[in-house]
Amino acid sequence: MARSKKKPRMLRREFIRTSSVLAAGAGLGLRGEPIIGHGDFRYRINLNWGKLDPAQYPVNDCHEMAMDKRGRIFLLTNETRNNVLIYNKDGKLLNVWGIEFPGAHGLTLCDEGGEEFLYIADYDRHEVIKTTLEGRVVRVFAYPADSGKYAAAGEFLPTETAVAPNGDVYVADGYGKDYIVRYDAGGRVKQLFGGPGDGPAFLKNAHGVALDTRPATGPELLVTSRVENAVKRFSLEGEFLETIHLPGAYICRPVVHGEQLYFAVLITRLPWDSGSGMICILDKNNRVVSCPAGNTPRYDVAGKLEPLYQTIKVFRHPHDVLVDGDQNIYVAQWNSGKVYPARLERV
Amino acid sequence: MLLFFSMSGSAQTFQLAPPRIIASGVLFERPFEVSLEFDFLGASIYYTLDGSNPSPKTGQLYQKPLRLDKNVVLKAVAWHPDYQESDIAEMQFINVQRAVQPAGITLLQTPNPKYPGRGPVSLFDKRKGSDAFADSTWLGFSGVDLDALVFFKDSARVQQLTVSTLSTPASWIFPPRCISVEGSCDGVHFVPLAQAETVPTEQPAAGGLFYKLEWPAQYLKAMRIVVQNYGALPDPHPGRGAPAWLFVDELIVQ
Repeated sequence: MARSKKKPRMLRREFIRTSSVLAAGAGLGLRGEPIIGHGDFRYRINLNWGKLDPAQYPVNDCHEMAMDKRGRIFLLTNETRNNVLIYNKDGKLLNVWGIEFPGAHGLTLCDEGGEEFLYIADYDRHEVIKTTLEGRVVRVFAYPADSGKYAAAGEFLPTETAVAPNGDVYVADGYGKDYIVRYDAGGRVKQLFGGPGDGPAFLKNAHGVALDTRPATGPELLVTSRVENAVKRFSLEGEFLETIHLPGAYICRPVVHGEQLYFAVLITRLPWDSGSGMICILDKNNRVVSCPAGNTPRYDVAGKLEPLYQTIKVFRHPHDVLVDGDQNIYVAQWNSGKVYPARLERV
Repeated sequence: MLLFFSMSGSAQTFQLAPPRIIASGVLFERPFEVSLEFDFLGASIYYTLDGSNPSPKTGQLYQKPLRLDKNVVLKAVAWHPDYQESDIAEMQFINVQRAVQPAGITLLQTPNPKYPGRGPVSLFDKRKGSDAFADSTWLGFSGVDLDALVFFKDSARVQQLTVSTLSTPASWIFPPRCISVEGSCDGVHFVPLAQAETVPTEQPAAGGLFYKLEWPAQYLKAMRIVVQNYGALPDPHPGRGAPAWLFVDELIVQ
C-alpha cells in the first residue's frame, strides 16, 4: 500500500526521537498532550473523532469497523436504530442503515472482482449476512446443520468472518462452540476446524478470524483464542500451525495492515468489565512492538513475552481497531458507556 | 469519577491504571516476596501494609520487592505528576502455617456440577483460586449455601476461621450474606462459636474477599461452617430475582 505522506512524517518522527520523552510508553507531545505507544508506533489521542448526537444516531456496543476503497469508515453496532454508521475520515457522518441486526458483531469488507461486500456476523440471528455497501442482502450463511456439531441454530453464535482469495468464507463461532466453519462462496459447508478442547489446535473463545496475506509462503488464517490470551496461525485448509502467546491480553479479532498485526485488547485482567483495555501492535514476525495505553512489550532471554497490562486508562474495552492509509488507528469499544469510536493519530 | 473524554486531550484528563501486584500466591507458610510493577515513564508506586489507603504523602515509595511474613493487606497506587492517580490495587496475604487440616469434610449442599473444584478437599488445600473462577480451585454454589461439616482426626485447638470468597457481580457471583461457625467436642453436639453478618451492598465491588471469624481458643473434634448465599440478585442487577452464585475456594481454620 502506498504511503502518501512519507517524507514529512519521517521528519516529525526524527524530531521526537531526539527529544527527551521516549522510552516507556508515554510522553508528552509538543502541546503537553500524552503520546502513547512504543518504538516506531506512537500516537496522539483523539477521543472525539467519531462523536455524534446520541439522540439522533445512538450506538450501543461499537463492535467492529471496516474501510472501503473510497476511504469511508463503516461502524457496526448492535443498536438496531442504526446498525451501520458510515463516516468519512474526518469523523463526519455520511449515512446510516440497518435495523435488522440485533446481534451485530463481526464486520468484514471484501473486494470481490471490483465490487465490495460486507459480511456481518450476527450472534442473535445465528448467521452471517453478506450485503452490499448499501445494505442489500446478497447471501446468508446459516449454521452448519449437517456437521453433527450443532443441535440447533441457537448454538451457533458467530462473531467474525474472513474471506480467502478463492472466495471461501471462514466464520468464527466465537460465542458458541469455538469452531471455524469454512463455507464455499455459495454458502455450502466444506469443513469445520478448531472447536472446543484442550490443546494447541483447539480454541477458547474464538472471537476472530482474519486472512493473513503477509507470509511469503502464501496466505494463512489468524484465529483469536481470547481466553487463552493467544492468536493461532492456521493454514487455509484448517491445519494448526502455531500459537502466538500474548500473556495478559484478552485480544479481539486480528487486524492485518501492511506488515503489522493489530489487536484491540478488550481487557488485561479479569473480570470482563474491568475497564483494563489497550491496543497491541505486532511486527511481521509476530513480535509485539508497541502497546498503546499499556506497558512496554519485553521478551525475556528465552524469547518469552512478559505479561502485558494497561498502564493508562485511555480506553475501557477496545473491541476492534481499523488502520487507515496514514497508519492512524480507529478504536471501537464495547460496554464503555456507549462511546463512539476514537482515533489514535500516528506521530 | 473517571473522565474518559477530553476536551483538550491534556494529560490531566487521563487516569493511570493500578499497579501490578506480583506474588506467587496469597496464602503462605514461609516469609516470601511480593513485587509491585508499573511500567510507565516518570511514575512512582506508593504502598501501605496497614490497610490504610496509600498516597504520595501517606504511603511508602516502592523501590524493591517487599519481604512479608505475617498477615497483611497490601495496597498500592501508581502516581505521576501529570496524570490522575490510579485506583488502589489491593491484595491480602494470609499466613496459613498453623492452618489445621481436617480428616474429613462433608458438604451438606452440593456445589453446582459446573464448579465442583476438586471436591470438598479443595477448601483445605491452601491453594488460592484466581479471578478465572472456572479454574478447579473454586467451588461454586448456585442459590444455595456452603454448608460444611468438618472433622479433625484428633481434637484440634482452634480459634479462628478465614473464609476466602469471590465477588464478580458481572458474572452473578456475589459475596455471602452471613457466615456462622459452630463447634463440637464429641462430633455430635454442636454449639455456636461465632457469626458474622457481612452486610453486602446491592452493587458490591469485584475481587477476592476474605472474612475472618474469631472465638476463644478451644479444642474441637468437629466444626460446622455455613457460608450463606446472597440469595436473589438485587434490583439494579440485570439478573434481578435469579439466584446468586457463591464461590468459595478456601476455609482456613487456625
